Amino acid sequence: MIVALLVVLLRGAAVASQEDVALTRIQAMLTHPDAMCGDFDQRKTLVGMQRAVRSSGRFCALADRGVLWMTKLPFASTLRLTRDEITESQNERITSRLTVKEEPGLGVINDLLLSVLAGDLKRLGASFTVTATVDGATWRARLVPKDAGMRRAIGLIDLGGGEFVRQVTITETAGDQTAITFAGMVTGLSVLQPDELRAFGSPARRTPLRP
Amino acid sequence: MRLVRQPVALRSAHSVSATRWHRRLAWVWLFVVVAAVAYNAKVWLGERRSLETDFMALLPTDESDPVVSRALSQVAVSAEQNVLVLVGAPDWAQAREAGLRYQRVIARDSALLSPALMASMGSDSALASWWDHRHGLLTDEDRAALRTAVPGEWTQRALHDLLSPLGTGRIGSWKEDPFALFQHWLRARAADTPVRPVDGVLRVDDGDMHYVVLPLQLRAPAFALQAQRRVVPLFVEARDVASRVAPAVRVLEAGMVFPAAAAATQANHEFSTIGWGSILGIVIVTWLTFRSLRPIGLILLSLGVGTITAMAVTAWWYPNVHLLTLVFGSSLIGVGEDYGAHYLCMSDRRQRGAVLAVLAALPGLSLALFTTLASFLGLAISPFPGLQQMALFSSVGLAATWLTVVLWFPALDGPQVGSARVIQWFDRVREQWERVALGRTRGALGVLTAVLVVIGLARLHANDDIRLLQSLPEDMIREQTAVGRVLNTPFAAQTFVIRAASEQQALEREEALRVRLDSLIAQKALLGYQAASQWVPSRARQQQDAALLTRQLFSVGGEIDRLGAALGEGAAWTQEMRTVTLHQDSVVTPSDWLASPMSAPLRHLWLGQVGSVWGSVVTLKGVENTRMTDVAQAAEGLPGVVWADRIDSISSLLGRYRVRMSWVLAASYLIVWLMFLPRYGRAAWRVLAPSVCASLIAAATLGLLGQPLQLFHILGLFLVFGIGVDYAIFLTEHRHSPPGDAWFAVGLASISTLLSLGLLALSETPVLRAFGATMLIGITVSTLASPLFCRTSSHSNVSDPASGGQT
Repeated sequence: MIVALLVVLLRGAAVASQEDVALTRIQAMLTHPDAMCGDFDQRKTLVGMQRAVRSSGRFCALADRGVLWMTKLPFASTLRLTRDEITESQNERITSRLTVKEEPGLGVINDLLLSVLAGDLKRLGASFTVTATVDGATWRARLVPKDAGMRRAIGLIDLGGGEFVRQVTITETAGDQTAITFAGMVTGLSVLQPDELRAFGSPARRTPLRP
Repeated sequence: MRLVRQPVALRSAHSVSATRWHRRLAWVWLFVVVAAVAYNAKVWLGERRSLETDFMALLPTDESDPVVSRALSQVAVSAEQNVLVLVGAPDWAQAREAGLRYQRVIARDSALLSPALMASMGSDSALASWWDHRHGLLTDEDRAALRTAVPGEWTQRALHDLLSPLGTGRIGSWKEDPFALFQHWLRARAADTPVRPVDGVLRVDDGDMHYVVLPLQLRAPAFALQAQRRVVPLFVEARDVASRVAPAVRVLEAGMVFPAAAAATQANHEFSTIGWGSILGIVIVTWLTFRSLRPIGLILLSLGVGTITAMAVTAWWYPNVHLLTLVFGSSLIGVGEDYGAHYLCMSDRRQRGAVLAVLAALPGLSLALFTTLASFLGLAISPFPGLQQMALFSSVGLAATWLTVVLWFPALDGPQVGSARVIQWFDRVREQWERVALGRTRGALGVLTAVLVVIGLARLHANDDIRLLQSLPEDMIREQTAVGRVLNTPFAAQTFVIRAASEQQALEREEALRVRLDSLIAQKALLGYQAASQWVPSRARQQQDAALLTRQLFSVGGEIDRLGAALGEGAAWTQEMRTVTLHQDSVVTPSDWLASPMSAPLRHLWLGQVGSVWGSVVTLKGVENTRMTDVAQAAEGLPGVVWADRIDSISSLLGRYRVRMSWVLAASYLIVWLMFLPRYGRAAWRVLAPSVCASLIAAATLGLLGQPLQLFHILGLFLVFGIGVDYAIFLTEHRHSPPGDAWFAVGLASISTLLSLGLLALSETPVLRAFGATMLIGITVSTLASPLFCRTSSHSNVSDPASGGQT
């Protein structure tokens, strides 16, 4: 499911596998900010469809809170992911809400994602088979979920970047593909707009995620 | 002396032939006993037959309704074979590691324990049947939303989904399920269990704890002793190994095998402690009495022969012998010690000639045996398979003990033994007791007893709840409950059973019931339920849903055209989407579901065809205790749906039989009184009075102590009847023996009965404790009351055929 977000949050972490030197280098190349915002451009290529479905907007990620995914085009829609739930809203009206209680799988994935935020690298190695290459200041990595159920839920993930993750491509088992590119990344708590902070529940930074 | 020596001389010719016949019969009996020993060796050592330990196997199967009884047993059996283990820690990596180590230990005995399938949303191929028929599968929410949809609403939903960066998590591509209806349906099915596959294991979360779920299937009956002995140490070791991963690791185990093993261990333990305790007690008492090892040897021989014969006959008659039959049955055979004691207490048997002494005692011994067997008959006519087995076991055992005493004791008897001092001591106790009971305080004592009995009986109340009969360790109950809560598993004992004339009607009836259950869920009366129709909607429902979906989403000029336009697709795309949907006309059937691995943990819900009827079961999760009656009433007015509460039905059955057996007990007294009339005449009531008093006092004591009366107390009173009457018979019959002999025999028998059956009052097994307590009070009172009622018999005018008209 939520993997694009997961990948956005990878920032520093994620792709670690002790024996792979490339992973260690990628780890070193990525920055580890508490908060980060940027623009995205998303392109879904669906099996049996002539045209790709495009959307774009802005995203923000908070290390201990979760992610806001604010689509501006073709129409405004906000998706908020926290430890306990995913909500989607249009014009301040919540259109759907999925809680951990209703779908425990969400909890598992959120937990994975937030652990990664906290810098727990061992986590991804347990869930994904990771292969990576580094070429100068840029790198590429591929994450394949080990579990068949996870592969269906998440798909296969290719990512690339330098100091930040720049491209994410998710390929689902049936062939549908979502490609996201990021631009204009800025870091630090100050980059969040007041309404964005509010969406995470103000004040920002209440409890640290992990000691 | 003069009175008894005379008949020997008079009937010497007769006695020679009697002795010869007696010897022949003794040899025949030896042959039978050897055969019993051989049969036991064949069954227990050769075939290695194992003992049944399921407490429920002692209970009647009840229910005249075959569908209901099949449903309850199918649900119960599926629950019995399951073992669920949760290995958890606040840290997932530690939890996973501990879980894997636990699994490795368990995997060593894969013949007995195998990983079970669990509803954790399997592979795409397992879901193929549903994917192929997806257009007939709608969640309740989607169905409602489709019915009231406004044009454009579902197109918006579909487009909105496409903006999400989240993977779709679908089977197949977006195009094959553009409105995510099947995705919703699958999510609703997945919501049935909080377990998810993560990192190669099954995971469930509970607050801060993350657990690895290890569903295991026991490949042997949970109640088979040998399986328990192999499996339980493995679980102990696995728990130990897992706990060593980190201090925070917590292991929760649930499954019928754990309480079953605990109960069996307890019964075994009690069998050895109480069993050996009573044997030791009897040995000590006999030693003190006779100052010789021979009587002890003789008595142990008679009891041993009784037990061995009983085991052989029971094993021959029943394929499964219950552990409790052995525990309880061999205690009952301990009553047979009376016969041996009775013989050994005849201090003049050498003068009379051993065989003739036995023949002289035969009427009394026979009456004693028959009344006891009559009381066991009371157990045998109860509908409880366990009690029938115990009745058979004990009857055979007692009869064999009796035969051993009658046929073998005269030949094996050694020099006359018996301590005059002990006999005198017994007699002095009796005299003093009679002085107290029948002296000046007689009236006061009688009134006091009567008042206490009346108060006790007035305060006596009954409680037949089967749960009172279970005795599980606290922490085990807590673990089982915790596992059930974390995994959100249904409670197997309370279910709805559906009966229908056809497969489809069964599904339709389930759907009707589910409407009511859904509204109870909305009222928070229960958390959820499991039903086959959640996976396999009825044909009618699937066809209606497919029609609704076609009309609202795929009609010409409808949502699918709008969606196509919004995505820039032409008429060809729309037409293709429409064709894909409309070409379907088949539906998912119960056999699809049963054939799929997805149904593995739920197959017990589907009974299929039982005779001419189709049946299924709906199990419930998290029923609010205070709303139980509301939930049970959900079946009301629905044809073919019944509420089946196993606990309630067994409890009420216990209650019915408590009442019925009380009447049988009263009738038994009446019948035995009629049997006694020819022999004892107007004094017949005196033979029964001690047992009646004992029963009333035992029941009143329960009332005074605030203990509820249960069926098992009544069954205990049956034995008080059988044994208590023996004492009165001995006292009445033995007025021609040397003074003190009869009372000595009764006192000795009573002490050994208290040592064997009364000690059961110490048992932790509630059923045995109820028996034991009843026996303790009942036998004590019977013994003390016997001389009070039967005293006058020594100078009564009752005829005594045994002494051949010597009076």
